[in-house]
Amino acid sequence: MARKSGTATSAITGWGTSALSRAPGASIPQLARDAVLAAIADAGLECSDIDGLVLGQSDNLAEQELTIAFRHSLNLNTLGLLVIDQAKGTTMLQAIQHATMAINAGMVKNVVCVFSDTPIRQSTGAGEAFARPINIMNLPGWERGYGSFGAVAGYALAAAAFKAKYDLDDDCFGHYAIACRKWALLTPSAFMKNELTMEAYLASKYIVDPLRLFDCALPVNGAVAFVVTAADQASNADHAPVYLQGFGQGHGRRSALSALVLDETSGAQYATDMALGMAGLAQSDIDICQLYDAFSFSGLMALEEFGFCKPGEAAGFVKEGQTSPGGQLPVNTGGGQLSGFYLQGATPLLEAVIQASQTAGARQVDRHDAVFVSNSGGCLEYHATAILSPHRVLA
Amino acid sequence: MSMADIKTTKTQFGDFIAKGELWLPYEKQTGAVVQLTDLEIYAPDELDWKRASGLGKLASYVVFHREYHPDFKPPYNVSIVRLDEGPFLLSSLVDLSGPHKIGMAVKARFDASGRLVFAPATNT
Repeated sequence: MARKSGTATSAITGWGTSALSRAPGASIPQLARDAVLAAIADAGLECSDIDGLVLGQSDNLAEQELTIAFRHSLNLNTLGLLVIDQAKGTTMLQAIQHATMAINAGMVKNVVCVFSDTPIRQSTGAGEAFARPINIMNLPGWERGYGSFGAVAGYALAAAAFKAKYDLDDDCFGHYAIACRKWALLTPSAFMKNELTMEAYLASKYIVDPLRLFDCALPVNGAVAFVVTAADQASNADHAPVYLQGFGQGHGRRSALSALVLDETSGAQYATDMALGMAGLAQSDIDICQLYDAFSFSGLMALEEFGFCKPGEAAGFVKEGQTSPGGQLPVNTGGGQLSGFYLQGATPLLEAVIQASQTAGARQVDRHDAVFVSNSGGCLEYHATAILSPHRVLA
Repeated sequence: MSMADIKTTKTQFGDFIAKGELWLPYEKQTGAVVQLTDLEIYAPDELDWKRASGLGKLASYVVFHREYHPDFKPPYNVSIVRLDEGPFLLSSLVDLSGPHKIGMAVKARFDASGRLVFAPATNT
């Protein structure tokens, strides 16, 4: 189906979450069910209106916990789409994209996309859940031989290379964490409730130098679901629909780490160009960014890789307050993954629909006509993007 | 034949390391050096191997302050070295007596446990 640039074919008409918690509790399917039912109700629909289900599976699991049999826990009619998406940090946006493709193909009209994860369990804290050796060399067992454990290892190596490349100060990542915390203080659902000063940031312990505790995401157990609907279907929700104006993916040969080391690029720009091209927009048209920032460094890197700042300029841009409340490009307005909550790609997408639907309360950004969302996985080697808007047609 | 008997380009590299030698892969067709992260793109008969100089530059350096495994007591470093031939390797920096910074020259050696590590080139 041909699509005229700037006219959306799908909209997010409802969204909802399960309880989000820092303590172990309900299972992945139980949390997913709570979020799905909340999203369907938020869209003003009934279970019987849903004809597609895309299940976002976390990569942290020893075995699949969210199978397609999940559909039997909901009172659904026959579905025209039922699939599991599992693509590391890009799973949530890919789910929304696949729902839109199925809508565009005429297969379905109302698709629920859900992501659910429980990194915090009786036997493992959040840190342990993400402590497996991250694959950097693509040589079996190589990282383990050097004690290179955890997602944080790859990101710290990239952060150190980034810091050295642009000769940045030791507090460069702190300014990003502080900017996100300012947004969190305006966000009732954010998990971090206290002001973050540079003193407190610099006093926080190193996990892997140069990354400190406050440079790392705050994982929670929970689920987030979205209802994606054909754009020409009238929304039954109490709030306005949020239109999907563009989306993209970019899975390059190089991760952010290897790109920094080799002076090459990752697939991030590819994913951005695809989304902006679809929407008929440029970076300068974007009002708000909701970035996948599992580490403070990733937020700075994303601003540069996605083309919102020139190489080497993101740290200064953030330090000036341009991403903070009142800045020229608000970033991660719910506190992001550092100060809001970390549920992989669901975190930035949820805040994007809240801003675009003008339901953000005290943290609502006046200009929210075009909201950029990113999802990234691996060591910033898999990228998915989307552009959301309250307008079906972008002038 | 078991799976362990099947030679891949990854096991070829690992076999050199197990012997205490650092060899690098080159495309037979073009002569271009191949990143070690890209080994699985190639079949064994598509690559030539040449012994590496062992010289390189420190490309990244981090220090673990959290214990993830009892075999690795913090603080310890994990480093990335860009070899002069082009490929990069994750490793560890040793013999750190003087100052060190990203960009400095380093040289490969094998430690007592057979691990490939790198030392500041001026110290060797």
